[in-house]
This record gives sequence, C-alpha cells and structure tokens, in this order.
Amino acid sequence: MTFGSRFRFIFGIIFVIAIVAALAFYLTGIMSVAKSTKAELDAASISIGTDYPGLVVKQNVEEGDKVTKGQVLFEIQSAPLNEALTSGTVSASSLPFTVSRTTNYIQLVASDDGVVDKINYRAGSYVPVGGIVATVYTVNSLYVTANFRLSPPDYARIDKSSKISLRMPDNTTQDATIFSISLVRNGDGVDTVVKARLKNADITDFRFSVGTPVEATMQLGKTTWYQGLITYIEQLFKPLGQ
Amino acid sequence: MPKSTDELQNSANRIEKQLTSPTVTLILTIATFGAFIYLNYLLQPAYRGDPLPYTLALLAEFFIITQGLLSFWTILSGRVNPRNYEYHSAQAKLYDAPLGKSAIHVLKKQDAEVASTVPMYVHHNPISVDVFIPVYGEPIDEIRNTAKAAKNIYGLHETYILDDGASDEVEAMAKKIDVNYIRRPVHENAKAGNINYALANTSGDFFLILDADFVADPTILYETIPFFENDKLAFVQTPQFYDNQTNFVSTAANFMQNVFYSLIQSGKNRFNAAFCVGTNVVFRRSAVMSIGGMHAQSKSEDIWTSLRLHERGFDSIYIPNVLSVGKTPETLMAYSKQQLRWATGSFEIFLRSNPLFMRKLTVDQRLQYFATTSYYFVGFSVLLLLLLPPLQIFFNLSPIATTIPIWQWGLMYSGFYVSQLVLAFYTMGGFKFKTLMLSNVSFPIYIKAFFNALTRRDQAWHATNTVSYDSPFNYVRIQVYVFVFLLLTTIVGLLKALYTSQLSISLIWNALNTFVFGYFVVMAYSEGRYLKKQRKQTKKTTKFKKVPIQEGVTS
Repeated sequence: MTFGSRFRFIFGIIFVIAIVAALAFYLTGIMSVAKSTKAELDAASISIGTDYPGLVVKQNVEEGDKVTKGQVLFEIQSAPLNEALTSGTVSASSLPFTVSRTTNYIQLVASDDGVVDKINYRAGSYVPVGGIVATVYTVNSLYVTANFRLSPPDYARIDKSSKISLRMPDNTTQDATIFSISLVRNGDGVDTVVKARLKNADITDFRFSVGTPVEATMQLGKTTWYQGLITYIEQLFKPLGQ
Repeated sequence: MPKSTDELQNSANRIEKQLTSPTVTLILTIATFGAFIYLNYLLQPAYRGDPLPYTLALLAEFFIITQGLLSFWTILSGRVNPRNYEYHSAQAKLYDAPLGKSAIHVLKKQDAEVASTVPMYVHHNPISVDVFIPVYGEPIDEIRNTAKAAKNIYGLHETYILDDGASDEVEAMAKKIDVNYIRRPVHENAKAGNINYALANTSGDFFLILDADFVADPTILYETIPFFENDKLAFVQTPQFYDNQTNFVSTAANFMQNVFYSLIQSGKNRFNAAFCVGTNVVFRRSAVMSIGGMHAQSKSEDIWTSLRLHERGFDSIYIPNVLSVGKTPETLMAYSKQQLRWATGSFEIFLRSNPLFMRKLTVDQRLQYFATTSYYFVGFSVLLLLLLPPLQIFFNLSPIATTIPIWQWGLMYSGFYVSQLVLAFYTMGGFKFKTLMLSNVSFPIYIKAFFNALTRRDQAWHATNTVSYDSPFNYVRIQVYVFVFLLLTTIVGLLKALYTSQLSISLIWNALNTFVFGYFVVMAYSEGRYLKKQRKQTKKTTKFKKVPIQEGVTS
C-alpha cells in the first residue's frame, strides 16, 4: 500500500466512525424523550344542579357556549320550592342558589368562567331531585391525559418534575406540568398514564376543546442507553472494597 | 484441495443426472410457491412497518425474488440433453469412415502426433480448425502447459498463441514446442482485438478459444464439432471449471461458477440463449465474420458477441462436459477485478442495449439475456438489506410491523430460501456458506461496476492471478468500512438492548452481517500477509519480472 492509499484508508475509517458517532448522538436524542401512544386534552368540569325538582323554564346557553362567572344559565320552576317559600318554611336568602324575586324561579348561575360541556335537562324537561342540569368546564383547568408505553428503565427516568410538551393539531407547541402519574394495564402491556396541566391555554379557545388529540413528548432523565457501559467503566476505576 | 479433471467431470456428470430428476421439479415448485407466499406476506398491509425501511426491504426482496423465479424457470426449462440424432450421427462420421464409431477409443491408443492430425469432417467435407490461446502476461509455464495440451487435441488443427504481452520469451517457447505464434503490431481492443487480428491472419472453418490457464482435454473437438452439423449454429460453449480450490476465495468463487454453469447455463439451451464466456468455446468462423468479428468495443466481448450472433438468428449450444480446466481467482485482487469486469460488462449491455427491447431476439432470448444482464443489481439489494438493521438500531424504524412475532416472519421467509438450499444439496451435493458470504461482501464491486458502466469509465484488465503483489486492502477498502460500521452498530445495538432489556432481530441480523464482513476482512488480512511473505521469497531467489503494459490495451 502506498502512503496515499494508506492515508485514504485511515481517513475513510475515521469518517465511518464519525458517521456512527453522529447516528449514536441522534439515538441518544430520540431515546432521551418518550412519545405518547395516545394523548388528548381534558379539563375539570363543575356540575350545575339543584336539590329541588322542577321544570326547566328557561335555558340561556347551548353546549359549547362560553360562560362568564355569575351568568344565569338556567331557570327552573320548582313547585316544592315555591310552596316552601310561600309557606315561609325557607327564605330566599338562605338558599345556596339565587331565586328570581318576581317568579320564584331557581336561577342556576356559572360559578366560574368556562365553557358549557353538556346539558342534561333542556328547556321543558323536568329535573328530578338532585339532578345535574349541566356541566361546565372551568377556565384554566385544562390538562392532558397522555399514555406512554415505557420500558422499565425509561419508567425509572420520569417523575413529576419531568418536562412534557404537547404538539397541537395545528403544529403549535404547549408546555405542561405533570400532576399525576399512574399505571394502567392495556392489552398485553402496561401504559404509563401521565396527566399534566397546560400552562397558558384558554379553554374558551376552540383549539383547546376537550378531546383534542395531541402528541405528547416527555423528557426523560439523564441516564440513557450507554449507561451500562459507563457504569462498567466506573466500576473498573473504583478501588476495591469501595 | 486441487481436483483432477476426472473428478470434475464426474461431479459435472452427477449434477447433470441429478438435474433431470423429477424431484428437482418438486423442489422448484415448492420454491416458487414459497416465493409467492413470502411476497404476499410482505405486501399485507397489516405487517407493514415504517415506510422507509419497508420500502427498502420491499425493493430488495422483490428484486431477489424476481431473479430467483427467473432462475427456477431457467433450471426447470433446461434439463434436456442438447445432443440429438443429428449430433450423434455427425460424431460417428467425424473422423471419416475407417475410424467409425469407436474413433475416440482408437485415438486414445494412438500417438499424440497421429491423433492430433486426423482429419475431421462435417457434412462429409473436410474442415479446418484453429485453436487460439490469447495470452497477456501470464506465467510462461502456464502458457506452455496450455499450448501443449491444445496441440494434443484430437483431430487436425492448428494451434496459435496470440501474444498481447509481446514477450520474446513466449515466442521462443512457442517455437520450441512447435506451435504458431502471432503477435500483433498494435495492441488495441484487448482480447477481442487480439482474436480479430488472429482471424484476419488465419483461415480455419472453426476456432476454439482457450484462455492461457485452460488446459484442454484432447476430446474437446470430438465433443463439440459434431454440433456444427446444424448450419445455423454459431458456437458451442463448454463450462469453465477450475481445479484450484486452495483457499477461501478460490473455493467460494469456484462454487459460484459451478452453480452458474451447472444449473443456469445448461438451462439456457432451451431458450437458444446460452452465451459465450470467452474461453472453452468453439466458434464457426463464418458466423463470427458475418457480424464483423468479435465485438471489440467492450471488455465483455464474449457476451456482446453472443448477443450479436443471436440477433443474426444464429443458434448456440452449451454442453456441461468438462473439456478444459482452468484457474479461478486465488486472491481477492484477482477476484475483485474479475467480478468487476463481468459485472461492468453485464451493466453495459443492460444500460446501452437492453435485451428486453431487442426486436431481433426471440422472446425467450430477450427474457434470458434480461435475467443475465440484470443479475448484478443484486449488489444494490444486498446494500439495502444491510441498511435495515442499522435503521432499526439508530432510528427505531422497523421494516415489518413490530407487533408481528419474529417466528411468523421466519416461517414465511423460509419457504423460498430453504427450498433453494434443498435444491443446492440435491443437485450440487452441498452448499457452501463461504459462497453466500463472498457474494454478499462483493456488493461494492457490483455497485462500482454499475457506475463504471453508467459513466463509461474503463478499468484496466489483467489476466487472472498474474500481477504479483498488491495489498488486498486496496481492493476491500469499502468492505473494511462496512465492517467497521457494522461492528460499531452492533455495539450500540447491544448496549441499547442491555438498557431496554429487549433483544431485537435487527441486532442478531446485524451481528451476523458483522461476522460475515469480519470473516472477509480477516481473510483479506491473512492473504495480504501471505502475499508479502511470498514476494519477499521471490525477491530473494529470482529477479522480479514486470508484466509489460502495452499502450492501448489498458487505460
């Protein structure tokens, strides 16, 4: 072999090693995050209802409508309440809900800003005792429920401080803070279910509707695929008996 | 172990006999079913993996399966003895009446002097035959052996050494053993040019070409000339068998050749598409002259000449008789160069004048030439398949759905492949893992050949096993890179598997590929050491002789 071809040969090998190094670096990148198998937005909802049965006489909102705190959503004509009020058994001011002064109808109001999720009793229907008339998603209660299929070592690399970021259907990203990690059996494996609250998302924006499918990416801890090698090398340099 | 001609002939006979067995039909039918089952499996949407590796795998496997099916078809169609009544009748009358049917037995008892001057007849007319031995820098002892054997061939003929090496030593040797010597003034167009020059200066009705390393059996003309009773026949090709199976390269390359000649070339007879391989071939001069001589514009003059002859409507015959024995490449350098030359020739034809669209050929011939000239694309298939495990290791991309159990894939895969192994065992009497390894590690040669053919780049030509010393690492550079890449990938894959405690098929496959390339690199290393040692010894004992490089012969 001439000097030139020898040089070319060695240069080629270095080049191959560089390629593998770059690929390994890329591998470290994709192995330092976990991608969700399934993730969708969810939100805490409040139930709106009454202890008194009665007829829904007025319905001011429809499902999906934005509501503000204190807004009257429904009015219910309740015969038992009416009777109790006229007989003086109860007084309007002692009730946990407001009552119209003129008609004695029960006024159901939104306790916080939000979006109407579901209406169980529409105008004209009869609400039984303790019936939930509607549920409302409150603002700032948006969170994501993401399922991950993690290998045992990867599971060891997450905790509540792990960073999670969401890719929305319109390709924007959102950061979220984990508040719950649980395990759920799914088929022949176990899914890690992570719930994380969105920081700056407004539920009244339709892009953040509950049920929106998203892609969650969770940052994993520092240990990674070559950990075994590092641990082994560390062992080599440890004095005996330590 | 070097093998004797008789041994080689016996094994060729055995293979020819085994091939006609109905069991071969059964094995090939199963293999065909296996191919379709596997293809169907690959195409199932449910088993599809990630798009990139899936596409790569599909491309590679589709090519391999197509080539496989074409060869099954060729093998199944062949298995017919090309000798008909006409042939046998002509053979009985070859040496004129007095010798008759037992001619060959009589000749065997005669003096070589007498036997090699018995006149031969075709259609009752005396014929003249020339034997050409094109040489170019081969060792003189080898040429002498070949020339002596050529001279002793039964039947009246003239023997010529066509020296492109312009060696006075060879000329003196020719004179001494009394064979003709032709040296042309200008060495252009390599071997084809050499033969064309000889054709212009000789006049035989037929000519036999023997490469410098091919020692002919005396019966070679007796076995081939009678075929020319058919006026449309342009050439009779006999196999290239080798008696040197001394190391890794020669053993593996030898088996590769045996499979080609025994199973494929013999099948091509039925398609009238047996092609010339440049040596051990008897041509009808008038046929070759009708296409303007041997095709000189390419290093693969042999297959181009066959193609032109078939276009002209001539017939060709291949017979499996081992009538001359040569030397297969013993060094990686020789092997690489030979493969590069063959593959470049194939690609040239495929790219320049694709046989599939050659109007003058029959459909049978078009398909056969297409199968032959597209064969070396297998290099690309090997490359794609090599890339699949690293894609899984570095990118987590899998060609088949990860939910599919591996044994299922293995089962589907085996139908096609196992039956081919069974075929090899049944017909060839065994299978050489080394050959599979060598054909896999040859992929860079084939890819290089493709680009050479595409860009019309020329490669220097050397005779098999001649140029004295050159480090094999100059020829296996890419294979060493591939080995380093695979080795590092296996290490990464191993650490990854330890970390995730999941053993993937990709890792096993990648490790196997690493082993194959590693084995090859070790072979290259030990060959390099051996050659170095040999060179030192030669330097001590004799003066180093340089192979003459002629202007115009190489670039």
